[in-house]
Amino acid sequence: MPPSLHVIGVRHHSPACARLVEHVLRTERPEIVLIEGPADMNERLGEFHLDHRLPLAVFSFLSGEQRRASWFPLCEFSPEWVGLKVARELGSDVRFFDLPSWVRWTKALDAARLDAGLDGGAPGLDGDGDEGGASGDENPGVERDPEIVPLETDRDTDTEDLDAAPPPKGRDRWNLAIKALLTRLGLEDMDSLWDQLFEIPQAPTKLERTLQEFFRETRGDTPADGEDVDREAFMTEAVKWALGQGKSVVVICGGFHAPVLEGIVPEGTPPFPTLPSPDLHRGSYLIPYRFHRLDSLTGYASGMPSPAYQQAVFDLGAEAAGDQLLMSAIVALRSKKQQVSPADAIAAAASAEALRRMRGHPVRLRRDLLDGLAAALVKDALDAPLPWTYRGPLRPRTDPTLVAILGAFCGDTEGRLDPRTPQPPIVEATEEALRQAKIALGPSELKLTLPQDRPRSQLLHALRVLEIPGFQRSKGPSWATEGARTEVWTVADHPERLTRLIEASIYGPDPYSAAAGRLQGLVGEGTGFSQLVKVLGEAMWVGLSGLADELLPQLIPLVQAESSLADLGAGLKALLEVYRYDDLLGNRGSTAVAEALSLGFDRGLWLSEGTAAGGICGGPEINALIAMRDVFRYAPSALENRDAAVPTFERIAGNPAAPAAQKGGSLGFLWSTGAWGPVQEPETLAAIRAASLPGEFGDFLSGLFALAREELSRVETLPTLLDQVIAGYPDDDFLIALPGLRYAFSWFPPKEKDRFARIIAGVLGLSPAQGDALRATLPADPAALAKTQATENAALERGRRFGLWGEP
Amino acid sequence: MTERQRPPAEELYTEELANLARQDRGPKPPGWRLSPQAIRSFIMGDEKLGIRAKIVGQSSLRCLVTLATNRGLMLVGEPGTAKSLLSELLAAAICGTSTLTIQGSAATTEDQIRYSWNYALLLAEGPTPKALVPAPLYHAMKRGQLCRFEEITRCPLEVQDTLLSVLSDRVLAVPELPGEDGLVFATQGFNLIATANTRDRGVNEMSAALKRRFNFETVFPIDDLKTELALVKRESERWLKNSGVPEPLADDVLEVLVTTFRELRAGLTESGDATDRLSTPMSTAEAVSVAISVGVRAHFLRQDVANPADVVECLVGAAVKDNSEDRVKLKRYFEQRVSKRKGAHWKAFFDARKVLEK
Ligand SMILES: Nc1ncnc2c1ncn2[C@@H]1O[C@H](COP(=O)(O)OP(=O)(O)OP(=O)(O)O)[C@@H](O)[C@H]1O
Ligand SMILES: [Mg+2]
Repeated sequence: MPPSLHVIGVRHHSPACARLVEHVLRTERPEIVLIEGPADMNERLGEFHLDHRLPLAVFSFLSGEQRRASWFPLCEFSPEWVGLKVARELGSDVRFFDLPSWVRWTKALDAARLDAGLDGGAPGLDGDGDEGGASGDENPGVERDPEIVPLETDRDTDTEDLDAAPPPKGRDRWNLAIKALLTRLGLEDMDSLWDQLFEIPQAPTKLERTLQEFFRETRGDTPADGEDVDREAFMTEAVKWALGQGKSVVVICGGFHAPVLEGIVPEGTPPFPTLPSPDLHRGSYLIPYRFHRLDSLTGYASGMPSPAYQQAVFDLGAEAAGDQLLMSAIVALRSKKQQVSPADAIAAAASAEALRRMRGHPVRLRRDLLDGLAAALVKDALDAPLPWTYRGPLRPRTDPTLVAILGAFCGDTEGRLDPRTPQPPIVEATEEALRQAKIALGPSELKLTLPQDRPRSQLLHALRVLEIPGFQRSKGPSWATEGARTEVWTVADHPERLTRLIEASIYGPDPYSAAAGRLQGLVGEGTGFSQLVKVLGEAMWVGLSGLADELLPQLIPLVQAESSLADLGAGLKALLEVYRYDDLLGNRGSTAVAEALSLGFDRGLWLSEGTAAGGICGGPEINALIAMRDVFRYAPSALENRDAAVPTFERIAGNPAAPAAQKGGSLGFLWSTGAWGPVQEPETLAAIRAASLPGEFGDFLSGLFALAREELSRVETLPTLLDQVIAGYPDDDFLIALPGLRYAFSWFPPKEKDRFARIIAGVLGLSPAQGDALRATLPADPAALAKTQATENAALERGRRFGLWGEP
Repeated sequence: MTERQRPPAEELYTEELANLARQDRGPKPPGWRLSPQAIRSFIMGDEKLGIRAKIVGQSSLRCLVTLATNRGLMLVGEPGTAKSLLSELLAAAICGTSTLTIQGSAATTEDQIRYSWNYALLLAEGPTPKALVPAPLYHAMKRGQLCRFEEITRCPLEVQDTLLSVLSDRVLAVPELPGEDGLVFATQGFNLIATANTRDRGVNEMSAALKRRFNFETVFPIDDLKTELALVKRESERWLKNSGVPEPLADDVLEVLVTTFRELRAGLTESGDATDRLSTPMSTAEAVSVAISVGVRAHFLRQDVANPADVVECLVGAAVKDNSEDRVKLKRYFEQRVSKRKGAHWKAFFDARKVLEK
């Protein structure tokens, strides 16, 4: 029999493609089946047929000098999974034939090393794990290279400009072709297009023809680009091997590659392409997966959205799946205590049905169901567009009803591995790292200045970040570059430790890259500036310089979007620490940090102006002002817009509408930075007098003292002036001013309070003993005392009016 | 006949609608003049049929579906997002008239919604069908047409609730009339389109019973600069020509104007920096009207073409008015954002900021 080649181009997790694969395999009963999956699993294909519960993923990783990870998820409705199962049943020779991602990364790394004129040998053997680095991506499937590249509804792309540019290659061309198709069909997004063309019930031959046309049209005859070059070369070799066997061959691959592989003709009898061997630092393992991750709407689409819906379509067909999902969305809403009346449920179904008809779909498709539910169940104005009309993470303020609906379509199925499955390396890696670091059960004290303790601390922090139970820190500095250098840890056995460790392999193959992966996962939609700085702090504890390098540029958009002065200040403060002291990861004086500081400072000025136009200025805002002052002082060369600070704070200090504390703080900024030259007595006194309204004075002084306490203590006459002002208050006013004043003076350390008291005692002509009494803690709450005094005064005043104490 | 300043959509687009009807092969819901597909072409435009888009950047499909069901359509959104326009176009296309309209306000009464009486006749003959004066809802139900209810949330809640039985039972009771005349059953094709503005007393106050009888559709502001720019250009050009201003606004003036509106509306600059959000609505509709006043001002006051400084003037006069908080925010916007922009038009815009001090 002459060799034959049948290529099925598919989309990941497409129920229609999965059915097509089954149909083709069963009708053709091919001798060889090639499936686009990581080829390093070929030795271990048996693992797929153990007793698992889906979804699972093949987890591929590279650790060492550069840490990366990727996931190849499989669920029951994955064409690749169906291919594996059916081909085995038919007794075909099944093989994965995609280049594993770790091989690509290794190659890229070697190339980079060669470029840098370094030794290109023995990749992966030199990463001894002591120099933490970035892992790949929390985002599953990012490295998955989905064949359907998502289409950002990116209306800003200037199509006119494209004429001038060189013709787009590879996936760029693919994207443009799809965009053109969408416009032609009047559709909004790729998912609708896909569903409408492919997920409708149709004969397998018709489906296959449409798929083929679609993939040929979108791919065109452009060669592969970027990493696709190596992958397609590998796939081509594999197909040539199969044809060389003189057998019937079915290929299951992403639609993007299909048009290229179709054209391969038999040619000699080449061997199956070889791969470098996996080792501790690179390889692939099966891990349990979750629908939730599969549905991740971010980054590259790793396949079809809404796995629970797709599963139902695969199991029951589109019609019944529609009914089921309408119901489960309503159940989900009701379980969230949302009112969904039977009338609403009927209306949702009716709308979905009407939309189907109007869109000319033979069955209700995902979009019809979602739109129908939204039309019938949302009873308010939306603040954000329907989440299925765009790609990417949920926009803020998305209606909770819609979130719940989408959640029901996603489902919460979690995969489970057969216990016989080989374990991922993080388990052994962690035990080994603990052994090497000689970390034993019980408490231990680490001196961070000792070269042998620093890596021990890093390991323990990695495990803490991964939330592996049994590793507890009870003492230590809160920021990695801080002065205090001692930590106390307690290590205990914990029944959950092993389980959690295996679960943590989802973040990476060893504790360090796993910690990096975990931390990266904390950074995403909704991360604020100060939060990201916190993650950066964690990266410093674990010693993940690669992650830090990755996070630093992300600070920039966040700092620009930070809308809370308080949070901005907290972040700036920590970041300044990095800028000044970070020798752990070598970010001292780094340009990335400098840029973030500069933008943060700029942002601070902007937010300060906002506060001045009627905001609130409490402790956290004052702290932000201090942080800005310190940045101004200690990172002058980092600041691009340093000159803007003085006019801004001058404006605020002189703005009658600004909160008093902020006015005081702004003056403090100007004085403490020497922007106005050395503090001049007359100006100081004038400014203080000008702010002495009783309702504001305390706030004003607290702002002022918070920033410029030291400079002001050089103004000899300050205590006298303060005394004059305060003593000049009528009793009522004093009562009003008192709480603020007490707070203001809390900024002074005892020694300075002492000095103040002595001066005041001098002014009042008190004896030293009486002067001491001024600083004594009052026997009762001062506010209560003041109130008592006020009552007494009122009584005296009444008496005076009635002539009780003499002349009225 | 003197030319009307703004004819209703069914008159303005008589020809287009007639053409569409002629070519329409799609299935029509009972009582509709056109199929939903044809209506979609009418509203969203269709190059092949030579029909220009009247609403941009919105999808009208769900609205059409709702109107074909037994629920009313509630269009909600920020002011000036073309809710009223969309409702008018829908009504014109579906039933050929967009004028069965109730304008909601605090003073709206049931009489203005359902029917009232001719008192002379009422006194003379008692309650008879002849003495009854139909209001839009009555008409719409009788004729199987669409009734539009603008700014429904401005009406007192009890008045809003007049609609309850009409929407659920599709019948209007006239208790004064005996026998058959006492019940008006809705003819096929009848439905209700309400609009509500999220800046007004919101839809949250609307009774749950009434909410249930509507499907809600949120209308969002146009989400990209280019589309909005094109719309403001097109609309302002049309109006300026009508007002006897020969020169349309130059593109750079429009850019300054539309960008400013968008940024102050969203609280975000086009490059992604935060800025203040004005409390004054800065809608597309507002942008169009400011663009028109910019053109008018330059032409009639200065006998010149409009420049960015005119935009500042009109922005203050028309948009910010006497809202001092917004004025402060606008000043900050100029100082912090406009000041950094490159290009002569932005410089000119920035230089004209003195007006804000007045
Ligand atoms: N997406 C859009 N497509 C077309 N025109 C638009 C759009 N958005 C705004 N406009 C402009 O706004 C005008 C419509 O304003 P309209 O009165 O319909 O808004 P509205 O949402 O009803 O406002 P309000 O809530 O204040 O009643 C149109 O004439 C047009 O110039
Ligand atoms: Mg309106």
